[in-house]
Amino acid sequence: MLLGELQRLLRRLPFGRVSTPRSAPPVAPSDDDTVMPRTEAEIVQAAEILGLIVPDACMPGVVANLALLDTHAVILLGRPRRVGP
Amino acid sequence: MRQALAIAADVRARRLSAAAVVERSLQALVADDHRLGAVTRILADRARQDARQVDAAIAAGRDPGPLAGVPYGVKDLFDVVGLPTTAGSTLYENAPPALADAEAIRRLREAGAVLVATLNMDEFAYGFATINARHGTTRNPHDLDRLAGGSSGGSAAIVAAGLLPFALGSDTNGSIRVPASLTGVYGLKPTHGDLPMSGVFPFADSFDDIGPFATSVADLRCIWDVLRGTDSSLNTGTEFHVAQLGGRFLDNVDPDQHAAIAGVAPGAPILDLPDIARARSAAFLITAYEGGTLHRAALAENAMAFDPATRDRLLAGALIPRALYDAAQDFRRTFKATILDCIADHDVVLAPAAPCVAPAVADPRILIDGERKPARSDLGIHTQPISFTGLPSLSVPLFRPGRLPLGLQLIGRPNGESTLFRFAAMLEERGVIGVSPPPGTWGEDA
Repeated sequence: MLLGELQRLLRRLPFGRVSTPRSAPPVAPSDDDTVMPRTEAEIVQAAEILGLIVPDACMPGVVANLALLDTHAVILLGRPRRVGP
Repeated sequence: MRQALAIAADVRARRLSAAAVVERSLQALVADDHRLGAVTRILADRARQDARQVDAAIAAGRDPGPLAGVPYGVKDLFDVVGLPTTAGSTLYENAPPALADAEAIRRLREAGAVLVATLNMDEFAYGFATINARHGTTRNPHDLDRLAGGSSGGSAAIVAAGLLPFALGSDTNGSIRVPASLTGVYGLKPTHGDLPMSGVFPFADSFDDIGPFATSVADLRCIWDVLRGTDSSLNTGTEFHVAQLGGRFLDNVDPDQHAAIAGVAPGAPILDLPDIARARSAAFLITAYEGGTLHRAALAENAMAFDPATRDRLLAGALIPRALYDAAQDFRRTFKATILDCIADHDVVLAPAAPCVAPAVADPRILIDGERKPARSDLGIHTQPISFTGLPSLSVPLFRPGRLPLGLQLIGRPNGESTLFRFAAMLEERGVIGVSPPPGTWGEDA
């Protein structure tokens, strides 16, 4: 309580750079649940489960987008992800 | 095109008829559109009929509303009665026509505003570029070789060009604030859930909001009041506790934005909000998952019918594991609580809106952390973390005639829009912010 009040007071100070606490520890669901499909085989398999077919013309773009999304997953979860199939 | 309130004042006082205003507006849209690529449909018959009703109300002595006879447009994802709602996609060109107007359009019509056009967007609002396979690329009125930003690029460009005094867009991760910054107009992303989403084609429910673009703070506030059914003019305080965002918000910023923030609030404390990079990543994942899930059935039926610029992104989003989405949502709840505490003592928090001026159409990439990144996905680097919190954010244009536009975000507490309007009005009065018309684009009158 006292710390919170102190932080609020500090934020009002001119020229003050306020360091704020980290909002939350990294979330940590199990690796298996959160692993993104990355290889073409994994993508085809994951798509089939959802009733999707990834057209050949889309596969390179889907692979690239899942790679980008995986970088965001790494940042979110705060830990390295497995590499390769 | 003049500002909305000036037009409404003339129409209400019978110095101009709504019919004449709308006719000139329709002519200007027809004459100019192919240059900008901002318009998808011109609603001439409907507009003329609505204008006649406004004039009839005035002739009968009835109050026509605060936006009497003011023409406007909407992003192509609002329901317009009698027309298919396409969300910028050929997939929905032959969809059944909407049975009613979106609630926002209904409220504006009651206030006397006249809908004249639907406006270009990235397909399904997925992008910050307004590069659309069906309707083309929307150009920036300040430099036709540059992007207008997106996904509400048509709405921003049409207002910046002076062809309409205001327009509606939608903002999921910055789709109002980014194009507002790139085209030099005002754009409001309200507190999440504050404005009516009924009759609006969704993208990602967790973050979707609608909001207006306009060329003055007064216009924007009036439109917001109409949409919300309130009167924010009663809020009259003039003391503001201001802070600025540090960290990543200062790492990727134009020097002019940095200087403007320092000038606006000298000595304002710098808030290093925690976990901003994680917030943006979580927002990215939630958006991709919700967008992919929303369109999964259509993707299964015919993925190749989607815009090439969005289909691969949507397919990838559909493949995100549910557990990862849940983890992102869990983080969001904690993050929101932390951020609310961090900003609790500040009325206005300043941040850049987009990280740079409008990128070139020929090379739609921007510099982020020293690397060239796609504008389509990364122009929202500064808006996405704010959407993640649900806080209101008003994008305001720095006043810099003759130069490419740059915008700032004024971020407020939940439901703190009227405070943001008051602060923006003060900056506008000082000449710090304001619309700089592109050369040769604004006519003399309505």
